[in-house]
Amino acid sequence: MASPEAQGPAFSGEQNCIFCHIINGRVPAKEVYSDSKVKAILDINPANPGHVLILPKEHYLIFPQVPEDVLGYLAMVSKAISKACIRALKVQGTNIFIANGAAAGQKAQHVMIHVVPRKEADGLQAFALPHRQLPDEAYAKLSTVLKERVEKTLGAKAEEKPAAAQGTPPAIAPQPVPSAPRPIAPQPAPLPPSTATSLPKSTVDLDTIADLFGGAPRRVEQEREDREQHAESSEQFPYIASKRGGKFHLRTCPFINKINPENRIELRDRDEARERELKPCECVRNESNL
Amino acid sequence: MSPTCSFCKIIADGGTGILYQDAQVVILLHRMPSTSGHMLLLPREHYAIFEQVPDYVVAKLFIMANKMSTLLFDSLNIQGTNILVANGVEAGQEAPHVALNVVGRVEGDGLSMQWQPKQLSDEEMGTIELMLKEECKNIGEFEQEKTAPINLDAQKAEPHGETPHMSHGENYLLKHIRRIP
Repeated sequence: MASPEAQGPAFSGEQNCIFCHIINGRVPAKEVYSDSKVKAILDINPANPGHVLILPKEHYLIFPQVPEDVLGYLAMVSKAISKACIRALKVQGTNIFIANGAAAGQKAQHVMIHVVPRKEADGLQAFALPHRQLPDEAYAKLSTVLKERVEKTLGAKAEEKPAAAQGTPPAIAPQPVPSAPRPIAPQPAPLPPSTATSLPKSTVDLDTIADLFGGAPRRVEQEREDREQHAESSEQFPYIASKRGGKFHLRTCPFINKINPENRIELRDRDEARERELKPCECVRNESNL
Repeated sequence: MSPTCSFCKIIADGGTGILYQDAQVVILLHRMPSTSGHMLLLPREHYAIFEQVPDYVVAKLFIMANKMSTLLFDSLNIQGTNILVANGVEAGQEAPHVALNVVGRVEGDGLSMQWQPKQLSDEEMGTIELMLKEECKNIGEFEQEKTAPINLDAQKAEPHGETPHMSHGENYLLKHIRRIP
């Protein structure tokens, strides 16, 4: 029996991710484009003929984890693939689409950009964005809240137009993919607890906005309180799980948002998880690689 | 800049809807949103269709969309986000100015983003694969941002007025010139 090493190039990526297997050539797929950083394949469940999926060759679970240079490169490839679809398939337009999270329609464990060719009267309603009324007041309030957040995160004022229209950001140069798999570093949170005191007190009544959309925006002060309360317990209980689920997660894992607060359990260590017969989530398995 | 384009007008005039702007992109809050936290990301320059937008601006748009996604996730109680480009009237493009939509998603908010998969025969799939593969062979270099040529005289006059990137260049170039052998 030939040893695994003798059978071909080593597998790089997540063992449980079917898309990593496709990228490594272990699972067949209809490839339309490939280079050192990305691979584009036809979706086997297309919304329209010619539906392409563009995948980074490195494994990332969600888009916030993708480094800027990789994301920029994926975007540029999407534009090229969109152009190729229009030319090759003689369609009139395309939709370029990213689903971030299960509620948004993300089905795969590997990030991807969809390019869907569109024709007149193709009957596809999936990407229609309805327009809803919003009272002026609510609009102004939401605008103020978000502007504050953007300023805090990006450090740029909305009113200030840039002085020169030339080269402010660094050029995005295509870089060779590093040979060692890059550890998945979570994006730094826009509001780390240490700077919580510097955040100006929000004078906006966020409940009004909540009434309009049926989803309550988090109150800034409440968040700060919650964070301070949980700061201690976070250290002692680094893992979260659900009473009804089969997996345990890190505190940074986005899937814990899906756990009903009634079912949420906190665990001290992996032994506890094993006692409860819980399997590690992807985020936990990657943690050991960091 | 197009005189008839309403987005160009908003970009030029400013207003409460603008959340962020820099040299390449402008981020607006959508006035008739599909969900809570519906943002529009536009290139500052006027481009009618997505293919016309320079590659580095496309990259910047998606990077900003990613950042806005995280920001929405932290500001509003949403469970996910969608980033959508409608390229062409048939795809749902409403304005003659390229726009990227970032929408916050909550379960049961009325948006679908799901489709009934079309069943295509192996032959059809194979044909499409070959046609696209052929077309994609033309994908080559991506357009990078052109940095302005360094003007040494101007830099000598105002050493502090430049971006950190430029002043670093100035220092090392002048250092070489002034180096005492």
